[in-house]
Amino acid sequence: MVKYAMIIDLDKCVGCQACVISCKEENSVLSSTPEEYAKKRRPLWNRVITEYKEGEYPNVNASVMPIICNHCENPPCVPVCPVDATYKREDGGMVLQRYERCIGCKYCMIACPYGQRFFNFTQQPELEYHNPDVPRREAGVVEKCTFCVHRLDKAKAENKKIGSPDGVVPACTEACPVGTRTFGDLDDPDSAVSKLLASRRNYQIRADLGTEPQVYYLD
Amino acid sequence: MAVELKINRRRFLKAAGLTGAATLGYLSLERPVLRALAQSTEVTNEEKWVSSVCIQCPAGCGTKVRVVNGRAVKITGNPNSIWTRGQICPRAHLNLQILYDPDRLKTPMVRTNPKKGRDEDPQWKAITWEEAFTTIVSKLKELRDKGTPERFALLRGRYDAASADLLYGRFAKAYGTPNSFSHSALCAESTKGGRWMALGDYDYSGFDWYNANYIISFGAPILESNRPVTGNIAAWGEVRRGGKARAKFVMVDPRYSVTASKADDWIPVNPGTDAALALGMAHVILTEGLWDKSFVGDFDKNSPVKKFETGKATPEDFKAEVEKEVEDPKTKAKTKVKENVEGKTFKEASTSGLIRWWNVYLKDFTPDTAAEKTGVPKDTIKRLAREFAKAKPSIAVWGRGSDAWPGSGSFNSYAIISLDALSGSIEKVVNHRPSVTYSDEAIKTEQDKVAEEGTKKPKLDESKTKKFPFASVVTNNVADNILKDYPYPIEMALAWWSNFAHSAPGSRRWEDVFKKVPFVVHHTTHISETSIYADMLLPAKTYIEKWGYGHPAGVSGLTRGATLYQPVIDPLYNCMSELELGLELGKRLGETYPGIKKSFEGIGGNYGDTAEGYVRARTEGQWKALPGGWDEFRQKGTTNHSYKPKTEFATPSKKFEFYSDNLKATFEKLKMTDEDIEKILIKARGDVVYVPHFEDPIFIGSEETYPLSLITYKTMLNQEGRSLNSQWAQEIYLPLYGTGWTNLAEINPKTAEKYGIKDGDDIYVESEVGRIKAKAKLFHGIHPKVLAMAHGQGHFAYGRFAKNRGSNANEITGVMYDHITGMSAYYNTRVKIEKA
Repeated sequence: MVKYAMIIDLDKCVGCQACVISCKEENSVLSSTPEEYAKKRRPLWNRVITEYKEGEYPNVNASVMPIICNHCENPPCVPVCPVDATYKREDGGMVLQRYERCIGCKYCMIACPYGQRFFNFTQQPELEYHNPDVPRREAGVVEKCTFCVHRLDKAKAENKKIGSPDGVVPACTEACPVGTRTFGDLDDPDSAVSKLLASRRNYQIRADLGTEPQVYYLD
Repeated sequence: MAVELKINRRRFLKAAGLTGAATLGYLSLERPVLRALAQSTEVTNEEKWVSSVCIQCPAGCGTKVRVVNGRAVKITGNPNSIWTRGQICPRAHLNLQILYDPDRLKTPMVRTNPKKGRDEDPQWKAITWEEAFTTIVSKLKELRDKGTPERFALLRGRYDAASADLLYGRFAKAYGTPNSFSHSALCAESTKGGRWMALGDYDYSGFDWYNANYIISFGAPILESNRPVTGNIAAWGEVRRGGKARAKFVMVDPRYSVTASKADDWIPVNPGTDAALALGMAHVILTEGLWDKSFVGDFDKNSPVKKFETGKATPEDFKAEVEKEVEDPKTKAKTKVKENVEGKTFKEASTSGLIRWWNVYLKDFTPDTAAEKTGVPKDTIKRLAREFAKAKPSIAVWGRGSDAWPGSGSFNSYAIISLDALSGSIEKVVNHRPSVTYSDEAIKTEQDKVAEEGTKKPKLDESKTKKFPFASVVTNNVADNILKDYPYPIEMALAWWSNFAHSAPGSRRWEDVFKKVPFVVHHTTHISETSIYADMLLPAKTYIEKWGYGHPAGVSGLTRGATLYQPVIDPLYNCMSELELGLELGKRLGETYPGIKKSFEGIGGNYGDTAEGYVRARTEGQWKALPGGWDEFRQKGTTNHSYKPKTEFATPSKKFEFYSDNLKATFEKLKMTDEDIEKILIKARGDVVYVPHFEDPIFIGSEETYPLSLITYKTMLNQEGRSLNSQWAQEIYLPLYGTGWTNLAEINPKTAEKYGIKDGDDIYVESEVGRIKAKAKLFHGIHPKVLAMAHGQGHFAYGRFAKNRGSNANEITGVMYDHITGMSAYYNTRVKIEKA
């Protein structure tokens, strides 16, 4: 079976946030307004945070870090969904959302320890620059990163290669100007992603929770 | 088995069907309902990818835009562009939100409320382009016919080379005004100062990050906002990993920026003292014998003086008695003979003036002096010097933070580029920018008598006078001279892609300027701070809607390209590009004035006097070199020009000069006296003026009353102040603090404590110039004597998302200059704070 994973090289990441914007662009994610933002309604499927190891001036240390849905092997959001809207797809391993089933109870948002699920509080307007390949979500449903499943499935149907370095990859991976991300099939020992993971020290966020994230970070 | 659908589910599925359920996710087609819908509604999307350019900043990166059914829906980089490695930075993606921004100006407008002010509603009335041109042309004619065409000023901001050539250049010249002013002296002119003094090259440098082992940046956040950002960050991956060896990166800045967070060393310095650090390092490099011998040269082996010693002058010449072994040709006996040799103590290879620099200045500028000025420990300065010199090839890069300073700016950049000479990096990894030439314009610019006389009049900015000896433009000085009608009044202004009422230090003066000038036309995408004072607004095309050509500013690596700007979609509204505006103005005025007609009729050469025609004519040399010609150029979008290192420079000695004969000649030509030099805020005298030296920073406001220095920095998402109506940019504006939709008054926590200010408090930030309100952010990454604010926010116009977010530090920044280049000083205003 195919098991997709993403590796993010934090040494290379410069915190430019091209990944943040290109994800919103690709997936027509709702933009926040200042009012919504103030209420902490900030749909950022891909988000860049800053971790501080702050000492006192001048011994300051901060690191930028992009986080997305981890597409966990053991996703806490799946078992709590009362209507089976959230599910882990066997082919590929990504955790996806059946928008048509979602009742907006937000249980999955509480279950996710990474805070990377977002609720559509308002109806998103139809905008000219929306990507026709990804349907706009209605108000009242939860959404999150899909590993750009629409791109991957399209590639599969068209017999195109999937995965770094020269296959179809999610929008964030393609947009990163530094080449921070590597994406591909971890079940394939020859894939770029498998080789990279084996070659460098890496970690996952909150691995101690037993979620088994499929997003790995290189120091 | 049939799924019971509620009404909103059905709507969703219908919508999904219309967009082509086939593309929804093929595996979703297991679901019978969706499959049925997919079969019934198969929509084919018309899709194409168009090459164009993002010109949101001067990097001008090539892009590819995905257009589906006539709508732009995605931006990627252009893989044909070598210097960008086919990448784009996050800002290029904003093109979509800017293109489809609902607050865009869609039609020409005329002001009907004669009163002008921040709170005055201009009461815009929509008019046609015909009406707009009729008014504009009649006003231009009026000025010309009474013999005062110079009273028409052009104020340019972001530009592409095509409109710069045609509107800013040609039209102004044919019309008869010398008063074309660019924004450049609000940008980074003093960054060019150092290169000019040392190499005679008044330009930015191109840095080859890929081949550097060591990078030290003085005040230039190269991973966030130093052109060309895309080239810089595209190189970063290899610079740190995947290249030959991991380069070390040191960031010198009073503020811990995102760029600093990626550095191995963050070196906070006292504001305005970057040159002192560089000079302290230079001193160590010389005294410890670490300079690059192949570029700089070395002591003559016979010279008794073989090293640089602190405090000791090095004689230029030497005479020595040398022992030589001589062989008798007959007896073959060897005897030792004493011989007198003489020559230059130090034989310079590709540099000139090193000994002079050492003797008149650098011998006494010790690491102790540098430590005292900068606040950086002496041992750190020594360490940095040794690292920089030994880890060659090394790059010392500089930018606004180190050179947008009054009096000293150009000298700061001169001090820093001298480090690059000492490490032998000149034309290795610190390079000139490859030139890009375009085909000759089809016709020459004609000047009739009125135009000739008009363009001979003195320029309003006083550039290239004693006041601003080598400035190409002194943008901010135009405001003061317009306000005092010096040397003559300005009666009409055309501003495009600029918003000096927001972006210039002392921005409020520009509001007065636009109130005063009797007829102001603003060609803009958004109704901005400048616009609300204008008499007429002309809607501009956004970046990916227009024809043009350009070449990226400041390149990374050794290539540069000519990039083609193309409209990616049909024009959305009734807008014109500035190139089209220039062509139209030229054509219409040509109907009355034969001189102007001669300058514009046939400007498109074989391709027609349209924007496309002009661009095609000027890029002919580029696309004729391609086998597929024009069509291939349109498809490729960019060419790549490579680089040949220079071995000779535009200085009298043809070498890298540590004693700037170019500066000396410029001062001599203007007959600058000591008094003149004092007037332009230079404290040095005599020979010291012409060598890299440190000038103490000059501040506005006394330290007792105004204890903190105000510095403004540019974040990645600032995009020259034009991104602020884009939600994508606003919501992630300050990644270091996880804060969007505003900017903050960033203060060191210990400093804040002194003033009883807590994180998140509303405070007043006040200078001699004015007062603004901001939210305090306490952060240990801020120098204790500094208050930092992100540039770009504090709009009071520009659109629903830009308005009233944060505050604009330019309103309280004083007006001073690096006089040699005319660059506005941005970081030398002192402020005081108190809880609001």
